[in-house]
Amino acid sequence: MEAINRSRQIIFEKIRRATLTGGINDGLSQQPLVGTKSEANETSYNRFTESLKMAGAEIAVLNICDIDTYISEKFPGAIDLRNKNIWEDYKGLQPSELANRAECVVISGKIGVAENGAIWVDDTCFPERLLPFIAGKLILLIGEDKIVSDMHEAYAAISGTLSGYGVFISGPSKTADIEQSLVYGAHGAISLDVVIMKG
Amino acid sequence: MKPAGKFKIGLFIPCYIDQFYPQVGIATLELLRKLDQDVHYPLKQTCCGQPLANSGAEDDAKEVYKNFVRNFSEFDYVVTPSGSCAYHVKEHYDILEQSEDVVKVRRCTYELCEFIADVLKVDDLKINYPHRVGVHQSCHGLRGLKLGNPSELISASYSKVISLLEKADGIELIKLDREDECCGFGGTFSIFEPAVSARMGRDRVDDHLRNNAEVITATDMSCLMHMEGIIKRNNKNIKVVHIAEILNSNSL
Amino acid sequence: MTSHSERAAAFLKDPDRVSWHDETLWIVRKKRDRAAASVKEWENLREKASKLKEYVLSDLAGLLTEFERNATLNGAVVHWAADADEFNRVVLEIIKSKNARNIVKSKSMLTEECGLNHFLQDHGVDIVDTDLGERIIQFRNEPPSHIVLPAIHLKKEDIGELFHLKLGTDRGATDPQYLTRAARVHLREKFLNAHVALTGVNFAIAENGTVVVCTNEGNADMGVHSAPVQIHCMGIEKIIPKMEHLAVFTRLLARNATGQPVTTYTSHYRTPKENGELHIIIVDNGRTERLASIDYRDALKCIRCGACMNTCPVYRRSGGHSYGFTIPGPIGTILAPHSVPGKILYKDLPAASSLCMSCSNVCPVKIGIHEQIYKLRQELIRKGYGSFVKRAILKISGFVFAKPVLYDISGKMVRIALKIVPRFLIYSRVNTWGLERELPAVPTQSFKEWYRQNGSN
Repeated sequence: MEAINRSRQIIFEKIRRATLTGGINDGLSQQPLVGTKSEANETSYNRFTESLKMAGAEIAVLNICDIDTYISEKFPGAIDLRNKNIWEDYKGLQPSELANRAECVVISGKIGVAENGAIWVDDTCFPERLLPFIAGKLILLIGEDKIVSDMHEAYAAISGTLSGYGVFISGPSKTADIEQSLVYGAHGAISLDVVIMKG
Repeated sequence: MKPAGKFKIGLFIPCYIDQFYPQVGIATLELLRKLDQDVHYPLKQTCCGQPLANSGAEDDAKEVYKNFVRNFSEFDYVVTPSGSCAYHVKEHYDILEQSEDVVKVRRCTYELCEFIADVLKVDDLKINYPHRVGVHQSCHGLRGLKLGNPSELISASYSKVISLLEKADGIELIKLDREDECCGFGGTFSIFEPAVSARMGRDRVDDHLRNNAEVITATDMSCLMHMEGIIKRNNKNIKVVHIAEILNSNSL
Repeated sequence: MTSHSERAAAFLKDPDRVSWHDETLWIVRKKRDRAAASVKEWENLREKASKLKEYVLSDLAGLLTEFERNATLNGAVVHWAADADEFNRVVLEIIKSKNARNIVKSKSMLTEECGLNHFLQDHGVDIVDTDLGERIIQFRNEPPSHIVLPAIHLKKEDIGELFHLKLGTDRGATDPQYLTRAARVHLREKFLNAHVALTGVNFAIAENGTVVVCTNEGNADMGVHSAPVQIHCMGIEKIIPKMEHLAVFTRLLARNATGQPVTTYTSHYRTPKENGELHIIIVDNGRTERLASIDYRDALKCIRCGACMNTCPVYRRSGGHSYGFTIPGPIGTILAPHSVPGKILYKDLPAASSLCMSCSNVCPVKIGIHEQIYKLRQELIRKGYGSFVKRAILKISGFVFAKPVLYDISGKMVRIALKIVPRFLIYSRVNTWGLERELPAVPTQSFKEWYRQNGSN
């Protein structure tokens, strides 16, 4: 530990010296503010659905009252994590147990981003962080009113509320590492269904 | 269309044009005179120093830079049929002490097309050039002097070179698959990296052939010299013509 | 030791493969163009990202202190490593203290830079790269040839054969989906049994001690959430001040890298999982020396998008391995020579550029890559690293070009020589121009000679 603390000291000392002698512009001492507002002609809703399609997601648009029926019919046996009463069943499970049990998982997302189809989920949406990744089929629900225009708006909403872990998910897991051919399901979800909730 | 003024111009002819392609220098001189300019060619000029500096010998190039400034400081403008040399003077003469002469020469040095478009403000040269032409956008002119918008920048589309050419009678400007890929000349790059350089050149020539160009033109004879070398070695049916020669084929 | 030009020439011996490599990466460049053009304020975003990174470099000590404090409050353990060797030892110590055997890693150029895999293997620790491309090259015992597309130098036939040997896929099978599924099964078993998961870091947020990792495959998350111990490795320059600044970088990164509007997963790791451990290792390894260099400091702004490789006409035709450095292409060219403090290495790389400047134009943080290549060339000659012949030629040319009379005489001599010397002498191996190109035809008169006779007004 002592050696590491010594390295810490050395690094900070070298940074200090570099900053003094390296001609780094002092005029930069004010943190620049980010004021970029994205420009778009289309509505956020349209951009969101277009982006999701591009990212390889399936989309359904439903009234809130129809959602339970839709899920139970289309994804029988899915683990619906909107119901927090079942969370205890999954807490603390080993990864292999989760892998066996969680083939299809439903999660309620918090923010949808129009410009890229990403949906924000965090520790408050699931009992185990591995669940959105271990599931072969992932279903994310997002309220129509939770769609923001761009990442600037998304991070403005997240900044103060970031929990222990959070992730933007945009489409199913992908790879193109073999000759640039796009394949879904490299490791995580092979498919992503997004349900946009109206009303 | 009348030029915006009559200027005293120092004509800079790059060393490889002087030695190997005198017709390009002649075309440039004739064109500028047709445009009613007072053109002089200082006889003690040699080179802009770029071949040295791009190889890392900026220090040895300083005396060459000074010779350039000595030869050209008396003129309203320095005009040259080379985007690369003009860019070098503007960009890399910063290592000289910035005397009044140096500052003036750096500011007033122009590539030929840019000079015609921006200073003389002539946009139609009454050219008759009934050929299928591919414009190779030399990198230093395109990205250095901003003679056009490079394909990788997200900005409005323009090209000072193509604007001059597209008004020509009979010309057919062909569209290339890659509008502004480097030809692979790169000065001493062509000597130190011969395999990559030649492959880049072949690919560039092939793009023109695939799209049925008869002529490859450019603001820089160096790119064209490299591509000509490849065309001749591979017996391809296409020729290179410097932009000055096309612009000078006019009826002004 | 071969040079870039020799390795490039070897790569170019298979012209069809070069065509494929060039065209494949060019398509990525075009996807990037479309993605960038879909953001109207693109150039403005680049400017903002560049300024943000400049700010970061001006206040690294302050930001790192803030980050360390907040990460520690989050329950993370922050380690510092002055160089590659110390970094490797810190990782090994954590692994040993947990008696961990199964280590999974998602992409981290820093671990490549430090040679972590080999170090751990030498100490009996098995580490598995989980990014598909990384796993492929790990099987082949090769370095990545691209920082975003590590196996871009391979064809599906190469990978089919490799997976047949390593994973027992059908002989001759080359379907990417089939091969990817086989890798999924193979790697899932590694994830589920992992004791320690390592990741790189794309961004570290000073204001809340969070590290952010971007992947398309989800392999960082699969590892991190499966293993009880997670280790995130970052260079000191990965820090950014606030969450809101992430918006600028996440909007640029994937669009510029692959043409996607965002990576599939943008993961924010703030606290350890329940009963888990979260370690962050912050590494210098030459970065502070670069920070002190006015000429080369800007390279620290790099966010590793790889766009300069995709746009580089030399990289596309010479392949990533021709650079011989962990990070190839234009950004590698400016990082390599000063990658070890106090030394100048990879002296062949600055010449491996046609200085077409496209790299600087695609760079999302506006690093003047071509300007740094130019400066490196000056430095090499100044410090006497050009070959004697090259320096002599440059010296003589400098002398000649500075003396108009000498220039006229030598120009004439060259033209006469080219006319009278036999072809086999001109096109000898010494004249690399002539290997694949003809020299220009020689006119009887130079322009200057013509002007003297005909040129006056």
